[in-house]
Amino acid sequence: MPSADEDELVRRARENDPAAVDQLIRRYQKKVYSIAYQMSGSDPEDARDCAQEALIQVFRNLARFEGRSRFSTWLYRVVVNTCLDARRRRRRWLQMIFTRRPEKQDAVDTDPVLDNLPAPEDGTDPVSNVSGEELKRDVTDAMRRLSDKQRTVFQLKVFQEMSIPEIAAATGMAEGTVKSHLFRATQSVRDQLRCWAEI
Amino acid sequence: MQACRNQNEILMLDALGELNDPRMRREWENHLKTCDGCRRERASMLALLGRVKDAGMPPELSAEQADAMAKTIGWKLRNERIKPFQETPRRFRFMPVLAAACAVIVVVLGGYRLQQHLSVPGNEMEMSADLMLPEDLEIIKNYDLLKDMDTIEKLMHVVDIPDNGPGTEEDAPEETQGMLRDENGKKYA
Repeated sequence: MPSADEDELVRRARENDPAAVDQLIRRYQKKVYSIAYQMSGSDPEDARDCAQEALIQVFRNLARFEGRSRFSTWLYRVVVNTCLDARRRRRRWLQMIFTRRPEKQDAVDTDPVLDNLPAPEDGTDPVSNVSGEELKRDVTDAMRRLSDKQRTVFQLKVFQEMSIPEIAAATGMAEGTVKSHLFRATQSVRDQLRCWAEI
Repeated sequence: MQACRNQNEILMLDALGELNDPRMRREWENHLKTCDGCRRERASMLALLGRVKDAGMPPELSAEQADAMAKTIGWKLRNERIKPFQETPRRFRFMPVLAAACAVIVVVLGGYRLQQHLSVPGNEMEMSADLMLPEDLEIIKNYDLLKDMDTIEKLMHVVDIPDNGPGTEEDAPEETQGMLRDENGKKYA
């Protein structure tokens, strides 16, 4: 992606050029959706909402982008912050619902693995599907056990393949802090998913 | 065979693709040649991270979904009449306003105290005036009147002098003074 081209697009977007805004949205929306997916607990619908909200925030605050870093670095930072805010809001909302109506918790006692099984006529291997869904569920559980910072750092590293300096720029943490969170998160994930490493 | 505990950090850095220091990498590769435990742990770690990554990948965003998202964002931005080149209005901030108000109060109170402090010599003057003798005060109070009276007195003195001017008694003719001299030169009426 040529930087000069991107700089020009950003400049035009700052001048309220709808074509430039559209081009930037299309250039980054898959990556933003992917970050949002991992940060919103692997729910595709939540991820789409979160990605949309994050991109709106990006263009709403484009005047604050001073060009000291790359546009993508700044964009990922806005996306990470928007997703973290959304996650906090959702958690508060769920806490409020479940503290007022605890009987609802029992109602959600379903098995997501069985719920997400493909229909038999798909022609896929049901055993591999079950194991894939189990792994997905275990990965999601392992992510939930991490602290917010550990999870964010781990997700950006493993799923988005960002380097430690890039993660530091996206999260606003020091590189040493990122490294420390990454070690703890990796260790925790390894301990929880050890059985999957042997298969 | 277990992996070496003291190599744990380097093992994770390597598995995460963050072992960038050439010297550390060379040492680690030499260690892997001789340590079966670390080699197996590294392979297991890489496999696990690969599986985690595959499991955590989002379903592909379809072209329709991508298009709908882009259109919604564009529509919302236009609809909100957002002008990215303009600064968003500053929000009212309570703390700076409170700090400014406190600073103004401190300045006003300080000024008032300073004024009080500076006005002390004036009070001393008033107190010393109280201690003055009543006669002196009377003179000061009636200074203008006394000045006028002095002027009048001088005027009367001038008016009382005869027409031939203010000469000395010696120069004046004896008749005009109403005095006569005896043989010793002493005056008598």
